[in-house]
Amino acid sequence: MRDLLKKFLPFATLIVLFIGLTIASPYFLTVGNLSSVIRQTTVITIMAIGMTVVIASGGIDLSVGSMVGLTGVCGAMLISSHYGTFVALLGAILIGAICGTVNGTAVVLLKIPPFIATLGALGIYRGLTLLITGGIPIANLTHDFGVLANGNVLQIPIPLLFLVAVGIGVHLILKYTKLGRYAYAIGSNKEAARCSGIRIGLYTGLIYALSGALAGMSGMIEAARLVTGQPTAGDGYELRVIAAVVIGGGSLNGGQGTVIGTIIGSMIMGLLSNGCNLLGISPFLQQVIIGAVIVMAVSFDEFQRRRMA
Amino acid sequence: MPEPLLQMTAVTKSFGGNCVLSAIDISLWPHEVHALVGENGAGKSTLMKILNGVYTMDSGEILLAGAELRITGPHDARQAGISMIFQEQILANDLTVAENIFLGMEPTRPSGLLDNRRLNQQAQEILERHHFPLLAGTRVSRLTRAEKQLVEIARALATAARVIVMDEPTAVLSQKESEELFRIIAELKAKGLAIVYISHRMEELELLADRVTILRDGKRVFTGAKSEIDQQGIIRHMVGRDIHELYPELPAPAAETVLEVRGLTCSGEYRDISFELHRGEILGLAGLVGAGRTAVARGIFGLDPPSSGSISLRGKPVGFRSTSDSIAAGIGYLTEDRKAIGILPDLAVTENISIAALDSMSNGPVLNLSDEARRCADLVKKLNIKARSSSMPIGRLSGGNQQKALLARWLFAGSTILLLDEPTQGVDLGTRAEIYLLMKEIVASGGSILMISSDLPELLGMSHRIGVMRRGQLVTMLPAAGATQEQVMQYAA
Repeated sequence: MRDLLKKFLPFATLIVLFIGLTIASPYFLTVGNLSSVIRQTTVITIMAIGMTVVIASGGIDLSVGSMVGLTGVCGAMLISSHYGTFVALLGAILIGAICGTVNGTAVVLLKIPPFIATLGALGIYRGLTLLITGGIPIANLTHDFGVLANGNVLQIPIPLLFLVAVGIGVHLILKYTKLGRYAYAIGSNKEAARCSGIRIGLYTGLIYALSGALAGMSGMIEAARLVTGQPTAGDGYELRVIAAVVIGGGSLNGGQGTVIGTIIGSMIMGLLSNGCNLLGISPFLQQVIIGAVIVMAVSFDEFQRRRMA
Repeated sequence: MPEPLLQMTAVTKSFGGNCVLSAIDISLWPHEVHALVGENGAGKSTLMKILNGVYTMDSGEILLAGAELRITGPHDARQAGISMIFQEQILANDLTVAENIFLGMEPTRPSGLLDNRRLNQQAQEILERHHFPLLAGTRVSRLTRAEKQLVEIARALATAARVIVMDEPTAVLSQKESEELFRIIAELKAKGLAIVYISHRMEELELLADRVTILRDGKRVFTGAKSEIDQQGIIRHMVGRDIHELYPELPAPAAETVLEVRGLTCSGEYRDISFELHRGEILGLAGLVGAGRTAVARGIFGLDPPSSGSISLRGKPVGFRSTSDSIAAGIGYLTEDRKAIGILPDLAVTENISIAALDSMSNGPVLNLSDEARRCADLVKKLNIKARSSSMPIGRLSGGNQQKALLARWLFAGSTILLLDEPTQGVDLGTRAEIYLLMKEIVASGGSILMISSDLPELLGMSHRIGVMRRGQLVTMLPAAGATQEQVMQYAA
């Protein structure tokens, strides 16, 4: 019974929020508003799905926001060198994966806590982005590049298609592959995982690479949204990403977290900020509200855990 | 008629609709060692945690020297002179021995600041008074498990004025350390304290207990003087049935050598270890805690590769640099430290069983979950692992069931050479008998077992041969048949 409650509480919160906003604001339940919510939250959600795996394995990656800037700028440079949207997207994903692998390797080989290793990486990747561009946005890009963020297929926003594909993909990885199982195992008890023959180094690297690749994809969508390679893009996203995972049931102690939960967590945050805008609540107060929600979600989670133990 | 020191009356407690204690009465007298026995899950620890304020009871009454005692938290219990040595060690690893001993009741100066000098002095006094070979200023993270247990005991001794509860205190202690503990218990008893002693080891009850209370499934089934009940009687009350033969008859091993270790050395841990393990054999490894037995097992398993020496499997030299290699070669290691390096607490029972051999149930990177569920269900049934559901986190199972699930992990992986480190530590009698039967079955079907144990009757009863280690060296190898506990101890000490 409590298991069910724990599982469905984020979902129930989302539904209540949805119904509440529908009643409170006549503009909420319109195609225009909902699709703008989706466009605003997709980037964070895709990154959060990657972060779910990292957090499940007991790690954390604070540098994903900086990766959005770096990969967006690199993607934009590929576009302006006439490589085409597809190649640029692949390039951004690859660069993200490399950044992630570097983070994972640093955690494993230097044996430093992920928080510290990726805090350093946060500065390094952002600095590299600024060095490459000299701080100047890469603009004047071909307009069909913007399709990645602003286009539709059968009236479905393209970023939403990316999100669905990523969500299904990572869900399957977590449930049906060794990588997923090992992520939970490492996060649950690293030493026991080692004693079970799991190659911690290899899998830690893969987990951070996956998260990095998804940050790369997000970086490209973010760049496409503005049709510009902004060196400051993604600044501070890491905190929203981590918040989404945690609201969705992930635990910074590792061993917990699901794709569905994370998507719901991210949507709760998106709806809160959209609702605040619709209801004319000051953006300053919004930050207070979202902060409070994060604390409440995690304390509820802890409370449940203690009662079950 | 004098009155009891402490009385618990009609204590009842449920967890989420599950009644774990129903109307338990127990009384403790001064100058007595009161043994509290029962299978895992019978409610012993819960009852004692209520007494120590870790849990609150749903109903019931506690009287201390005739006056009602309200315990709402651990602090109340300590104030009343009640303290407990917990089964699972709960020390702050980054603090020193002294800081742990006085945690929550640090001596202060008149100004309210901590008085560290007095803290260290008093802690060192306690340690010396009881002959614990520890320094007050050492960080707890640098101690071994047995040494940590001594800190736990010292902490309880620092406050215990009336009642001290010991929950399996000897589980990680060597014979010598245990004897020291027994001496301390006698001293405390003479001073007029009441000691509640929880243990699965019959020899210890025989030695220490004045009175015995037996719990089964949350109910009290017996209370009386130790002289009123014999070992068979205790077992019958605990398990609810008779267990005639704890140690099964082992089949004779084959001549074929499956594991050969020559001159294995790891500086600072052990040196020049040589032995053979035969097909179908259980080789017991005796010794005091710290003699290097666990390090040898870890070395063979590839967790901490040895610095020199050779290991051969079925005649072929191997040298494992990682556990994935040794597991692939058919070796499994059951750890002595279930919580720290055994279980994956958040993962399901099933996932814990299969984790070491996902390759055997996957197609490339894709797992075959139905194959996993089927094979695990077989093992859960065969090993009689009691879980409400195989998909519940293993962290919520009792210790004995976790231990069986960890054994199942190596059966799932098809390991033929098992390194079992204290396989029945903290496991109740019924489960113990099951584990012994399983070990017999493993060797009967051609597996081999290296069993590290500090439980001498177990070593004598469940091994073909016994190797004894002392300070990092293998000093002798005895046939188990005809060997005595004294003989083994002589080599070990």
